Amino acid sequence: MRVAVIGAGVIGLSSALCLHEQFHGLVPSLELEVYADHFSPHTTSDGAAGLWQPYLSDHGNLQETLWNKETFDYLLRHLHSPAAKEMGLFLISGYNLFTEPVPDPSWKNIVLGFRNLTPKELELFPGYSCGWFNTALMLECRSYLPWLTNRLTQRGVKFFHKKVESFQELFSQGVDVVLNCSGMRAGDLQPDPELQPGRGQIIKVLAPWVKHFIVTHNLKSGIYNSPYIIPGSEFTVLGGVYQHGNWSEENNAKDHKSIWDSCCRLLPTLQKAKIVTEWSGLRPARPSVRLERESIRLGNLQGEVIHNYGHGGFGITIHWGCAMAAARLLGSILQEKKQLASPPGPRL
Amino acid sequence: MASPKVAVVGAGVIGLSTALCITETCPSCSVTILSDQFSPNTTSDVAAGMLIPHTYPDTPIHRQRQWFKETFTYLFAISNSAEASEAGIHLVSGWQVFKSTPKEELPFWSDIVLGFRPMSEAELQKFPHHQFGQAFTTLKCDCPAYLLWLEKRLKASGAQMYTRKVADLWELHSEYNVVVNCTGMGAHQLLGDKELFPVRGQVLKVHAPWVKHFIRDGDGLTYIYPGIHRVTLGGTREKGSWSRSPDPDTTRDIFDRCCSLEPSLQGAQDIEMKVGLRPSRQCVRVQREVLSQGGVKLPVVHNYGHGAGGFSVHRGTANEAAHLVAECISALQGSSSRAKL
Repeated sequence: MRVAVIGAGVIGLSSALCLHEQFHGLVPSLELEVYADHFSPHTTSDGAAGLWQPYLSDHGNLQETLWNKETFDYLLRHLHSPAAKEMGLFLISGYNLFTEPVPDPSWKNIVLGFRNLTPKELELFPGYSCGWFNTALMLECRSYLPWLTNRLTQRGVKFFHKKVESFQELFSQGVDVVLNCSGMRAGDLQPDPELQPGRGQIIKVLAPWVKHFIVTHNLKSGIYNSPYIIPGSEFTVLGGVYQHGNWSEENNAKDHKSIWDSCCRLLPTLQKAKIVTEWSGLRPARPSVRLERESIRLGNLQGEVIHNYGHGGFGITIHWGCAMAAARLLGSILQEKKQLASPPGPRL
Repeated sequence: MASPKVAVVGAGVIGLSTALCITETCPSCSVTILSDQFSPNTTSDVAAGMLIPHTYPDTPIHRQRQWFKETFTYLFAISNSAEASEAGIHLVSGWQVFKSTPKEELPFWSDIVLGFRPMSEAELQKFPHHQFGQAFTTLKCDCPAYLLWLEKRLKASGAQMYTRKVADLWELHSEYNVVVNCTGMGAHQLLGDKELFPVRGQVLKVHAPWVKHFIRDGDGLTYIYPGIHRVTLGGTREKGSWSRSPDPDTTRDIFDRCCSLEPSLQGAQDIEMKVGLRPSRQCVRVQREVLSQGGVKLPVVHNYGHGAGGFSVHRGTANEAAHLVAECISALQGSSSRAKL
């Protein structure tokens, strides 16, 4: 039973690990392979600061809220494990700021210590009239992706550095199931007009005195189009750009100035921070995550595809919940192919 | 007296901040700082500089509260300005955890720090050995950055600084009109103050930049305070110990206690051991005194004995000491004008 994962970002690698953990013991013939044209540190995931935080509203998409919760709880359980440092996992607290009152978010009871900001705290942020304080998690992909890769390699999973041109290409090589975690490039494998880039740009600086994340919100401009400051274990990420439909991965000077000026206004002490590097990437945005099975038939070639892409700017936040859901889909495929014994029924 | 000459003895956080307050309240004064040690070799340099007050048994609570409030307000303004990183002042959030619920659930400073509230059940799960906790946001003064920033402000205001061991305050009477005693532990030898005693503290300074929160055990013995570049792990409270040498067994013990609160510290690197002697007293001595020998008088303002709470109250006591200096100068000017009649 050959399962090929396309994509080695946070979605691809975590799904691969989840599948292997769940089915390796149950399906002795399971062979897992990962195909990708980019590996860490060159994936979209590597550009993300790594803050666990969903968007303000789930737009009634309860499924995604549950996957977010599953991910947070999973990571929290690993916080005290010896692996946490190697995974790039740690607790972080901080501020979400608004210029007008907003309803509490879907994730207020998922994070720790969620509360409104006091008037004295708001003095720190002139121009913002209300906000939240909470404790969340950071998961830095420049550590997490290599950690996942090591776990997978230890388990005998094989990696192939190549761009897969079509699902058929893999089926013709004898792959039984494809797990499509191709993120922004999913459209190359199968057209999907709902998948659009949400271009982001960030500036990485050295500002080790910043211990809190600060995410501002401008309800008119939309998510991530307002300055944010996220301190990592080594660098602090400054950002606040979300350009729907923009495919450019080149750093833009106007965006740089906008990010720098607005972040320095938010936190004046950043003026003394040393700029280390700059990066642009494309959030694989979709009205909802595509997480579903599809049977592909072309001539005499046939195979199952499990799609797991379109996580926008919340891939890290939702990744484990999606990996578990993808594993459940594989479980039903395996049952159908009689690779997995059906649950024992009542004796007649 | 055209330009009163004030000598401040001591260049830790108390000496430097008091000197700075004097230049602010008495711009016509000429201020000189004399100390046998300057940053990075003062007791202050060892301290984590967290704004979490120590309670002095014999100082009225309202006075301690006033000192803390003035200090917090002063540093809060700096932390919010472009100078914050140079001054070494930054906000930090975290938790104070207790193995059993303390008698006093609301400390006198709870409304001065930011966002003070009891920890939720979910938050307490991170601390399986502790039953109760408080979450809040406070400020940290990162030494030696803060001391160097104070020195820079002092030089800009025209203050002079000299390395000099003062063996007796009286030796300054011919050169200075007022002497300000901010000698911390040095006051023991300088004045023979028997109420002043060392409380030895050993700390570790480690590289663990993923630690973004402070964690303090309510008993005050175990704490994790993340600074700009290093995390301070503590500590000990050895009353009466004068030893300035780090002890390896103590290091092991501090490390183990801190890892029990924050397991990820197992991965900490570059562990440095440091020792400081907290200049402890039942109450902080902020007081005027007049020394006299053979008809000659020397006004002295004392500002020492801050023990474990120096950073938390430094600006408040510096303000008070500066006002006492102004009183001394008025008194001198009053008596010198009386002498003219």
